[in-house]
Order: sequence, then structure tokens, then C-alpha cells
Amino acid sequence: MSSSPPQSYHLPLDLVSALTLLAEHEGSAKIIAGGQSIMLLLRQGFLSPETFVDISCIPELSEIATIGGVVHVGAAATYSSLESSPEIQPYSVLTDSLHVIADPQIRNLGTVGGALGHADPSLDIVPPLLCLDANVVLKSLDKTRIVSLSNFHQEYMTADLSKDELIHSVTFNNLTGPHGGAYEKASNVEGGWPTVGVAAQVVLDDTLSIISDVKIALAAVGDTAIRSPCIEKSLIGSVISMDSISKSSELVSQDIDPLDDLSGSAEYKSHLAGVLSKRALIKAINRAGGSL
Amino acid sequence: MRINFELNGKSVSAEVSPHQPLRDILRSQFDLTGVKVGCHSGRCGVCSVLLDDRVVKSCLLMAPKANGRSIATIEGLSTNGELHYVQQAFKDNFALQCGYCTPGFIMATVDYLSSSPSNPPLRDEIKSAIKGNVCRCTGYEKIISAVSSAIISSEN
Ligand SMILES: Cc1cc2nc3c(=O)[nH]c(=O)nc-3n(C[C@H](O)[C@H](O)[C@H](O)COP(=O)(O)OP(=O)(O)OC[C@H]3O[C@@H](n4cnc5c(N)ncnc54)[C@H](O)[C@@H]3O)c2cc1C
Ligand code: FES
Ligand code: FES
Repeated sequence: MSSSPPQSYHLPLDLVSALTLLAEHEGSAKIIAGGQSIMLLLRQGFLSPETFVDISCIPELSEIATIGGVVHVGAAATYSSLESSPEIQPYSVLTDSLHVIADPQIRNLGTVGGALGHADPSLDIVPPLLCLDANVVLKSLDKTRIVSLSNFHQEYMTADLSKDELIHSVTFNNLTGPHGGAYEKASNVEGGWPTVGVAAQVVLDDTLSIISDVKIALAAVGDTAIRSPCIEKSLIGSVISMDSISKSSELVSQDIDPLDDLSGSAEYKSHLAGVLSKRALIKAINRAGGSL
Repeated sequence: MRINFELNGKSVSAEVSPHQPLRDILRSQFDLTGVKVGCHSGRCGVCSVLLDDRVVKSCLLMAPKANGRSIATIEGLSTNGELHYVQQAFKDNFALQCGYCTPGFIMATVDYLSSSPSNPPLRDEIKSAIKGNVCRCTGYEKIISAVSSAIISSEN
């Protein structure tokens, strides 16, 4: 440890200062938000950046606001601040997931931007955001890019982010019509990472008997978190019934590619994905006012 | 780099490097050994401290992050030799055996009590509040009783 090179740690107070630091140190600066993923990598010696740019003291990056029907979540907003934010409460697909991420200590420091930057396929917050069709807003000194979250993580542990960019915020539209969402997770230990996690978001028609739209997304079943087009196609436009929900939930195995690992075999995870999809759908439909 | 922060109510300063967890600074430079060492990876909770009144794991807190902030450890809870009511609740409920996990549980409980917990206490809510802390001795039941009784006594 004593042989590591001199390191500089910056705590900029505004966005332009942070972006300037990234531009000046292109390639050698590491963004720090809550540090909950980074600290382990530093300790294990996987990373040894010369420059750290800590973005947790920039007020603009921690804001959560709804403007013109769009919810904006600043990248450095902590999981805890989302849990207690009135703007987030209507989205039960998100609040369900926030409550089961790690524990209060990790949620007090861990941020949404840190999760998206880390790009682990097992992160619990990603499937709910995929269900909400979220966009990621990226900023560098000279430009702003908006990328849909489904394109932001294309490979294992990789985000579409260049060295001089930071994740500024995540945005999604207000939902209209009778809607409900849910997140279901199974893990080997209390507070642990998901063995599989499934988010469901449904919109019902005005009679509350037909599923007019549904989105399903999963964590820990492949290189990235992903949607399940097979379940979605089979349910959109259908009359709510336990039978169709059970049958379509089984289709999830066609969309996923889980690995055998310590948390379970691929076969087990495929089965689990079906069970959790069904549970999440039932909860989401009930929350939307449908009856099952 | 040099950081300045408030530690258990006093202004202090320390020389730190970014890859150092605050836990190691608290123990080696300030002799606050109530901040325990367990897993080094955020899994056991024995190193829990309050950062601006919210509980965090100090093994995962990069030391420079404490700059300009306030840190509270178990050593700062009692006043004039009198136990904080959460400490008292753990004592009254026999919520410890070896005691290694106790400072961490107490710091997690102090944060939970400041966020308006349900009263009458809810068992599941208490379990979620302390799920970042591991105890190898008690089987948790007495810890849950201690947290419940702290919630009830905080109302009075
Ligand atoms: C013990 C433990 C248990 C956990 N359990 C769970 C769990 O059950 N479920 C779960 O989903 N997660 C879990 N996590 C992971 C947790 O969700 C992440 O560690 C956390 O969200 C990362 O956020 P952070 O702000 O701490 O990121 P940091 O560690 O600060 O950063 C992570 C990465 O993102 C980059 N980054 C951060 N912010 C930005 C930004 N704005 N723009 C660009 N890049 C950025 C950093 O450079 C770094 O590469 C656990 C973590 C720990 C330590
Ligand atoms: S030593 Fe910090 S959580 Fe275990
Ligand atoms: S009392 Fe011994 S670990 Fe909890």
C-alpha cells in the first residue's frame, strides 16, 4: 500500500468544476459517488487512479424533481434519499426495489449513478428503471447526451460512458392510466445480492380487466439486466387471468441466459425467474386496481 | 491529504489517503476502538458509525469523504458517564454476549430511531433496520427486544 503513487482527491461543489477536472485528467480520473463499490476495488488493488473526483457534494447532482411530467433523479442521489422522496413514492416498482437493496448503511451512501456506472447485471435498481423506460443523461464540458437505459449497458459490467463524461441524472415519464408496479427478489442471505430479481410494471384499461401495457425486466440472469419480450408480447391486450399470467411467466426462460454459479444453477435460476415473474405480475396487477 | 471534520462533537483534523477507509483512521489516529474490525467489505456492520447522523459502514467510507462532515462513534454517545438510552436498552434487555457487534448495532439503532420508526414497534421494520449488522452470539431476539424498548422509551 505504501508504494502506491501520490493521489489527489477532489470534492468539487459544482458541476462545471467536476467536468473540468474530468477533462483535464482525461483517462486518469476516477469518479466517486458513494464509494460503496469502489472502496472494495481499491482495497483489493484492482484500481489505483491518480485522481479522484468525488461528486457527492454537488447539490445539482443530488436533486430529485418532477418537471413537466418527467421525473429527474440526480445521479448522486442516494438510495435512502429516493426511499424518502415524495416524487418516488408513486412508483412502487422502484420503492419495492429500494427497500431490498443491501441494508440501511449501504443505502445511505450508495447512489443511482454509482449503480449505473458500475453496470453490474445483478443491481436491483436497474430492472425497475428499465420498466419505466428510463433515459440516462450524460454530461461532459462540451456536450449533453441522452441514452436510453436499455442501450446504456450493452455488455457485462460496461457502461456507454466516455472518460470525460459523467452520469448527470436518470429520467422517466410520469405514468398515466391505472398502473401498478412491483419488484420481487430472491437471495441466498438476508440483505444479499439477488439470485434473480424481477420487476413488473402494468397499465390496465379503464375497465380494469384488460392489460393494455406491461413491462418485465430482470436482474442477475445474463450479461446485463434485460427486458422479457416473450412475457410482454403474450400479455399485452389480454384479459387478466391467473391462467394467462402463469403460462406467460414460464416464457421468461426464452429471454434469459443465466449462469451456473455459487448462488445457484442456471436451471434453478430459470425456474426462479418464472416464479418471481408471476409474483411480480400478480402484485403489479393488484396494485393497478385489477383483481386476481 | 489533510481533512478537517467533527468527531464526537469536537473539531479534529487528520492526514489521510483516498484508499484508506475512515475506520482505520478512527482506530489508529483517534484510538476509537469501539469502531470494530470484521469483514472489511461492508458485510458485517461492526464498523458502523454516523456520518451527519446517518449510519454508514466506516470500512467502506473513503476517509476524504469525512472532510467538512460530522462523525459520531459509540464513544460519543454517553453524556457525563450516563449511557445513551439506546445503550441502556441493550443493557436492560441483555442484548449482548461477547459484545463485539454491539457498537455497530447501537449506531444502526440510533439512525433508525431518528427516522420516525413505527410505534408500537413493528418486528419486520426493526429487522430491516438492523439487517446490515451480524451477531454471532445472541440469535438476534434480544437485540430486537432492545430496539423495541428503545422505540417505546424514546416516546417518553
Ligand atoms: C455489502 C454490499 C452489499 C450490496 N448489496 C447490494 C444489493 O443487494 N443489491 C444491489 O443492487 N446492490 C448492492 N450493492 C451495491 C450497491 O448498490 C452499489 O455499491 C452502489 O449503488 C454503488 O453506488 P456508489 O455511489 O457507492 O458508487 P461508487 O462506488 O462511488 O461508484 C461505482 C462506479 O460507478 C462510477 N460512477 C459513480 N457515479 C458516477 C456518475 N455519476 N457518472 C459516471 N460514473 C459514475 C464510479 O466511477 C465507479 O466505477 C451492495 C454493495 C455492498 C458493498
Ligand atoms: S468491517 Fe465494516 S462491515 Fe464488516
Ligand atoms: S454479542 Fe457476540 S457477536 Fe453479537
